Amino acid sequence: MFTVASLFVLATMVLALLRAVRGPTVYDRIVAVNVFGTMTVLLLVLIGFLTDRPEFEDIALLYVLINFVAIIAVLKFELYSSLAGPRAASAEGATEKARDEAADGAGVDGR
Amino acid sequence: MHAVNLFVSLYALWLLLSGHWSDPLLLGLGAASAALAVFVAWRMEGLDHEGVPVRIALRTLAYWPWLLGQIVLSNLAVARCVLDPGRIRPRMAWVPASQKSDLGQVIYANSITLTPGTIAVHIDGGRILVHALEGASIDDLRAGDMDRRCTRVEGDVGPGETVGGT
Amino acid sequence: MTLALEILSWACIVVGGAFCLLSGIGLMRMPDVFTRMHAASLGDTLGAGLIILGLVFQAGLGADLVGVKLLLILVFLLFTAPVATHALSKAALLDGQRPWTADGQPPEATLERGDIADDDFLEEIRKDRAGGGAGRAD
Repeated sequence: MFTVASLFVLATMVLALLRAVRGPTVYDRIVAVNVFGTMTVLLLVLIGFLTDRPEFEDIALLYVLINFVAIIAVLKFELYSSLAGPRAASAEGATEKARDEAADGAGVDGR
Repeated sequence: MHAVNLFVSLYALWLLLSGHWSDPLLLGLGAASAALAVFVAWRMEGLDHEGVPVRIALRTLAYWPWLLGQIVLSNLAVARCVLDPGRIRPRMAWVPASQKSDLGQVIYANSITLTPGTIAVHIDGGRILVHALEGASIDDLRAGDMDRRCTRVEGDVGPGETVGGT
Repeated sequence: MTLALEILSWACIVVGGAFCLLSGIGLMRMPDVFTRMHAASLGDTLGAGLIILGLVFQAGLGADLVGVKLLLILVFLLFTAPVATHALSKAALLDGQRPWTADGQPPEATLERGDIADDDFLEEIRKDRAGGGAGRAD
């Protein structure tokens, strides 16, 4: 039965990838990537049971959280064209790297 | 006080995930990592009034079974829509929210989003912008059953905890 | 493990897989971003929930902590999924995506960037950009 569920999940991942390739807007692609991440978690859990290796549950647990943070980070970048808070960029002695990132953000903004 | 709550919760989570109960060195290292996480949260100013809402935990436990029932029901409705896309009538409208505190409004908005078929898009004062897959879901939300239950979970609101307070 | 528990867990896992597949199909069939998000939340809630519940029946809540970890995965999923969906829909709406409606009429309520008065983050970034540009000039 784990095989059946894994096949369902794999089919969903294929559909999500198709949507990520076709999606007319950026947000369609992000929705698809979000679904893909959730399905990856489920597939990891199922693989853990299929191969009888409980370590996979720890990886899945980590993957839930990383997936969430990744989606939020991508959305924040998409909406604000910047990942760092304003304070990091304007603090005294801001590094050259932070300035470069700000310049990159400005470039994206002007597309 | 929030720091102590956070430390205890984090250490309990660490114990649960690691499964080490006896080795004092590992237990000490776990406590150190939990303390480090609390320190980082303090540095990031995360330990404010909404840090660790322990006092509503019991009422939340009473609310979850009802919410799970709603989730199952709306899942079936959305599944019907997926199988027959001609049924969908998307609507976007404002829905009133009667909660007093930030936490209560977050609970209500999260409940709305967690039930498939409705998404809470934006909170503005005492109302929530909701996108619904079927127009009827908006009317159900306006009838206010979920709203009343979330207000009950929120309980008494102390001074300084109202919306926009810091 | 008793036969009844085995059958229950079997049914949970297969029905959960079917809900995941339905969310994938909905992802392909729905007309616009917002309706696709509804389809995606199908797999996030009942799809993942039933699969993990069925696996908990298999593992049991024993001393090897597998069942507890599975339940933790479910709890984290149920806490993070609505936040991600909310952020996604708000970002799409503020970027100018308009919800599709069946009769082609505009939705009865909507949101523009200007409607959010207290978006301090965006304001400070704009200020930063201006200041940063001046800093680079000298």
